[in-house]
Amino acid sequence: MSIAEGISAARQSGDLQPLVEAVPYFRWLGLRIDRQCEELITVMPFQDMLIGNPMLPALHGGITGAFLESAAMISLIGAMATPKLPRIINITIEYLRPGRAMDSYATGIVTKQGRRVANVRAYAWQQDRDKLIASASAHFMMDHGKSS
Amino acid sequence: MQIDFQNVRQLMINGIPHMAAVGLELVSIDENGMVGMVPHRPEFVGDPDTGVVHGGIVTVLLDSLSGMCIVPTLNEVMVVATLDLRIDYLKPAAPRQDIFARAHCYKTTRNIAFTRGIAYQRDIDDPIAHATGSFMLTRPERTDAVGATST
Repeated sequence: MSIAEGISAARQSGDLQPLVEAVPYFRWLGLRIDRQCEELITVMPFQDMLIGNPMLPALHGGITGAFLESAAMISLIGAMATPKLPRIINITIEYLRPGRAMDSYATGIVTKQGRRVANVRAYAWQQDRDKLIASASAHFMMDHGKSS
Repeated sequence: MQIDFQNVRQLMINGIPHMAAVGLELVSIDENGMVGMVPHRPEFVGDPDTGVVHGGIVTVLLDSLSGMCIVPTLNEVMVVATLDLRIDYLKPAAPRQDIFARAHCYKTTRNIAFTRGIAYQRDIDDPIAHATGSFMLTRPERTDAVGATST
């Protein structure tokens, strides 16, 4: 299944999990989609390999950023009108608390979707949604002249 | 602080599970900072139609190098934790090629270190991403007070 087909299928069925399975990096991280009411939540199950500080222990800062970037993109795909894989332009990640050795959750809010560029804010938490571990603001290119 | 190449390499490969998981290798350390590399692997692909690596791998590489390059600039042992990281993706990575990053700590205060870095493939003058980071510095006995994710 190409990404364009995956996005079209996901938009029709409302299930983004097959699309997530089509992306090798998302599969490697074991990402899962949990749709609660109207909200798309991306889940990153804890794995030992995600640790960046074995003393605390805490998740690697890079993986927290990668997770927010992934969740932002997944939320954007869930909200957008065209079957194209958005391409990231930039992301700013703010680290708020150590990510502990447990499952992580994230959601993205499409702040603005223009014809060419979308702005997405993403938030990550663990057991308590009121205690964010990190947040991010990202821009994606929607129309990069590529059919997929 | 005197930290030699083999020491940092051992710390990175053996001490940090996620750096080991992505196969991160230290390439060099000098006064201009640190260079590291993540090898290409099929599981890192973000766009199966093109084979281009996911930006998350670039984020992990740049965050790791940006955090690590601070350590030799410090006069004492400190815990380095990412506070803020901005990444600009300058061009798509070429498929099936290793990704390198060079990071440099250009300013350290009592509590914060500031870094910049670039990621590239074959040519450092044709980078794929640029990163700006700030990192919290904490003396080890105050680790519990750290308010950010550790690198």
